[in-house]
Amino acid sequence: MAAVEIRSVRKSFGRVDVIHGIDITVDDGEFAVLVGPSGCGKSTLLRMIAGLESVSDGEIAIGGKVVNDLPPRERDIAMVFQDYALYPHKTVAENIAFGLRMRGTPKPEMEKLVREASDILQIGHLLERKPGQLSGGQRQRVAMGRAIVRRPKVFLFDEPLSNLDAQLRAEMRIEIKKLHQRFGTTIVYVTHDQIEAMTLADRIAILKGGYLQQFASPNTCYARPVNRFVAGFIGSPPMNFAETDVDAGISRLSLGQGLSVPVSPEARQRLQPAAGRRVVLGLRPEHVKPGAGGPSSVPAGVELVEPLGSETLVLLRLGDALFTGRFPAEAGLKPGDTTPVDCAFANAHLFDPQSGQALTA
Amino acid sequence: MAMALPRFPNKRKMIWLAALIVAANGFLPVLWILLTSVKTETELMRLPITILPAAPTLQNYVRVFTDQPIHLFLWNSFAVAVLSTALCITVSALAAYALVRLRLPAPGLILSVLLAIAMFPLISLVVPLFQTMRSLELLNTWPALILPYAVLSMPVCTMVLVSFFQDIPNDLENAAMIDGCTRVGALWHVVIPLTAPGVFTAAILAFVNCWDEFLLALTLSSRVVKRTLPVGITLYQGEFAFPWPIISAALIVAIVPVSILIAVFQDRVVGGLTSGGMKG
Repeated sequence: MAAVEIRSVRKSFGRVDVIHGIDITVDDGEFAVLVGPSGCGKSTLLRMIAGLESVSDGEIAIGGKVVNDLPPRERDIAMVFQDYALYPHKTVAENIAFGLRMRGTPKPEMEKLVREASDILQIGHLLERKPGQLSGGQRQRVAMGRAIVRRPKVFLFDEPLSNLDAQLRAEMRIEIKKLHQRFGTTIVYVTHDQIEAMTLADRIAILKGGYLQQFASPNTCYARPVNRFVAGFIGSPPMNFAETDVDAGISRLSLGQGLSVPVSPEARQRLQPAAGRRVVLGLRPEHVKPGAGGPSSVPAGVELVEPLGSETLVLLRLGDALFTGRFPAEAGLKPGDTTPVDCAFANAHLFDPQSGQALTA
Repeated sequence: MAMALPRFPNKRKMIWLAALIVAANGFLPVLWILLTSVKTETELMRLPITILPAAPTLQNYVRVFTDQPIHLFLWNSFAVAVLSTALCITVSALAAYALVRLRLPAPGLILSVLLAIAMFPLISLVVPLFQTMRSLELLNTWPALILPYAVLSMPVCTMVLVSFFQDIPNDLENAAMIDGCTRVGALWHVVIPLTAPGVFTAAILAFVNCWDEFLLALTLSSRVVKRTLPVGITLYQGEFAFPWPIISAALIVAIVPVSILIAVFQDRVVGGLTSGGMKG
């Protein structure tokens, strides 16, 4: 096991810079998830850790040893690929054993380790099959078997679940979490799915356009996003945003079309950084609740109703802004209705309209 | 009502006919040589022409093996073809791999130059090659043929392999390199087995090229014991006589090994090996 240190790492392909100096330290035994939209550089960063891409500038260290110039086979890592990358001409057993064979593991030990790994992943009955005879989920298990059998210092996962259907994805997510608990190996996991990131990670690194936005625990990223991008990326449904002018006394928030929402005295402390200026207000859907008579209650137009069984998501018009609110399952609303909603501004986030940086702590 | 567009009549039949013409073009001369090889010379010269031999004989085959050291020609041809094919495939595989994977500048241009090299008329190379081999004191040795044969087949083999290598997903090699292979190891353990059909196709092309080659073999090997089959067969011809049945028998002896070889390796040329390793 080992820590993975990424120090001021840059990557350019020709004249195009794709990673602009990233610093991340993944602690020994930590489960770190790199997340971000397509093209943010997360897979490139992972491939640099693996040694499949060169590092243009900066250093990558695994277990305290700088690995910039080491080929992948000398980094003591294992990687699970998005498209499985199983050797189609080899059986499942040969696929799993390949890394051991390349490292000259004696045959009896190799067989024992393959048996153990396949038992852990419940693929013992598939050992003699070729990858072509397996389902997507089984192939992904074999790919994970190939990774765990060598007990490497670090596991790298490159969007391993994105080719699986929703149910299988949830199942495999649990499986991966269990593997981490069992082996305690350092994991760097790339995904574009923020639910995977939230559920799996000890810490999430959110990337955008080759820049690190925030590297913190899922709860921190959710509760204290450092900027508007992180706030909008983490959380499903995403945070609601509205540009608003706040008066010096923070008594009301103007949401356009003449709608001005009163602010409770308790929420004023939270909104203090916005006093007398224009800000972007961010409010999570769970803080847009149904309710008349609250301190910040205003009537809102219902635009869309999405029942989820356990709750209902309601798209509401508040002045110029469209806010999603989490309502009870039996909300009894339909598009075109007007319903009172209460905005819990004590939980609001404030962002600078130009830089997008968070103004609230 | 809309008129149906006029369609080419009996498209399937036309395709069959074209295939038949191609097959007949290759097969009928061989059949004629085979029939000639079991006729006596008298029967061959007799009019009217007989198609099937009146009195089939294997005497011509006996003469093939007694008149000239054909076992030496066979051995020379076989050794030269195998060794030059091995050399050609090794270099072509590495070259094709480099063109497909190593982010070289202008791989398309390099391929075009290779193609241009393949277009050189062989006759233009004979004199420089002769001079080179004489300077290297390699005349009348296997390497005098192995080296140019390997080089001459390389452009075609490289192009065949490039098209096969392009179909192998990058991540399969990446997985192999993470599993402990070097780049060449990944090529050997993963890419080559998966592109076996392409490798065999290229190898068959190279092998047949060498097996059939006449001009260089004639020029670079003047000693009888170093001759290859195509040149050796000409020795059955006398100054004034053309013993066609014996020459035909020698030709059949030349055709059979390569036909068997191709038949054996054709079984290995199976597609779809890559299915299942990746998604989809």
